[in-house]
Amino acid sequence: MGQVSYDFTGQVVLITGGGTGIGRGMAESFARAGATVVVGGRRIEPLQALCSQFPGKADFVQLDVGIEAERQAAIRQVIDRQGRLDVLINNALSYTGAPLDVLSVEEIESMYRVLLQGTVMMTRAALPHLIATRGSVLNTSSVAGRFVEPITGAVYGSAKAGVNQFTRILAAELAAKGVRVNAIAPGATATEAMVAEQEQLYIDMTPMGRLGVPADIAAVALFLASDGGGWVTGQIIDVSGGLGISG
Amino acid sequence: MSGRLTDKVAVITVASSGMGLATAELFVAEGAKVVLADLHTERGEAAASRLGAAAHFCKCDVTAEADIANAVAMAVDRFGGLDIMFNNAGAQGTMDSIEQMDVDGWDSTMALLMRAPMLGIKHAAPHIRRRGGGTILVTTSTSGVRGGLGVAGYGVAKAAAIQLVRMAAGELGSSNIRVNSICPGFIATPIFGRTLGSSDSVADKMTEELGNRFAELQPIPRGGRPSDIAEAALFLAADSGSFITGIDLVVDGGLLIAPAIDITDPSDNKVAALLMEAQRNASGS
Repeated sequence: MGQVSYDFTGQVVLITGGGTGIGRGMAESFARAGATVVVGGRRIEPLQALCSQFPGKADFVQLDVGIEAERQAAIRQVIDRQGRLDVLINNALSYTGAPLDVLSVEEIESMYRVLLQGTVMMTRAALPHLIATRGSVLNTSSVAGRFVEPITGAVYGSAKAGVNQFTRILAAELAAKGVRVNAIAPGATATEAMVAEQEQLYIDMTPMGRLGVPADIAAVALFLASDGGGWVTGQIIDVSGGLGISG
Repeated sequence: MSGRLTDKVAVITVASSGMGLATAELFVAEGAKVVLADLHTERGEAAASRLGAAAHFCKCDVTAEADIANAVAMAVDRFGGLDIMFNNAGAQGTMDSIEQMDVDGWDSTMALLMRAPMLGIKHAAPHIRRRGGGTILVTTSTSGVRGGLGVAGYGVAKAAAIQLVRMAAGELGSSNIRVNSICPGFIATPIFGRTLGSSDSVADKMTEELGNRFAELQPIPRGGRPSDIAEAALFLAADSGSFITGIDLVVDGGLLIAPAIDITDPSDNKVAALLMEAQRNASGS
């Protein structure tokens, strides 16, 4: 086998937005690789469903990453119950697809609050524990953070661009402390969040001619969090079948 | 137990040492068959025989199109097909500044570092398509991403290789052929000693000291290892990379985001000083 295998036994992974879509895919992959997975999200039912899939290996916490009290409580719960935190995956989603003049103030503020500020603030809350384990941060970004694509809009894309730059700068700051920070930029991924009418449009823009699936994204997360990715930091990895390579 | 590349066939150019050899070793450990294509017959045949029946050496000058075509044909003849083509590179090319540039040196640098991966893609693609898809990899460099790292010829050729990968990914995506590059930072291999004109044995001796000294050059405080590149190649070539194409995967310990060397002053060459010191130590002992 390779020098490092994807064995996360003994490691604790916290995934925000972990109950559905890409987050769920990552939770399943890390759990199968031996990690204890804690999934956070605003709706309890999908989190509970995931935990029942991995009895003894998974826990959940109700978590709106836009609320500081809930962020701190989530980290406290992870440390109280699991004793450590090795990987923080900032994957929580807030998204409304509409032109700028149609979006409401609340919809715009929610996207920045969850996607950018939530990522920054969750990382801040988790930081001492990640430093203790020489762990890593993975941020779910998007090709929309670099590529001007016609559907998701300027607010979503600029929030993701912010996530990208936060990733790079924080990686430089934390390298000497042993914590790596990377982002994964999916293209168009088949999840509950994908709008059916837009699927063909995305497929036509993708050189590999298909949508991604959560397992595609999860595989990259495993590599980045593993020792095999131990010299990779500050990177935004496009997992898009080629969508956005001109961006 | 089956490996992550079981039944896959790979050609790796410049595979007799350094990153290419580490990748060949890892690929074989994961169940692949590998053709090690290299200019250096003695080293290459020794490496292939150490790896056993799963590996075969093929002499290959990547500046000669016929040699590249031959390496691909050998993989197909010997192992039944081609799934993975790794256009790795081993030499620096011209060290001239732009104002001092010898034009033949420029052209041969481009042939070695820019044209060779294009030829690798050209000859590998039809065979990989016949297998229903696969992976093409190219070794680029942090020198090709930003200014201030390395010399002009190398940097330009590597920048071109990054774009080559995007172009090829666009052309070949519908054939399920993924094309990506791996962008190393400072990896301790014999390339540094050889570029300075050292013998192979001195270049090899230097490598261990460089592994320690390179810790000073980028945010993650250790030098890069050939295994860092091999693991990236495995990640991209195996199912884990099956939806990734057109990317330049940077494996550099954070060098590009925050180099710990002064990239603005060509006369303040911390890297050159470090290399000369390592060469002196390796030669003197």
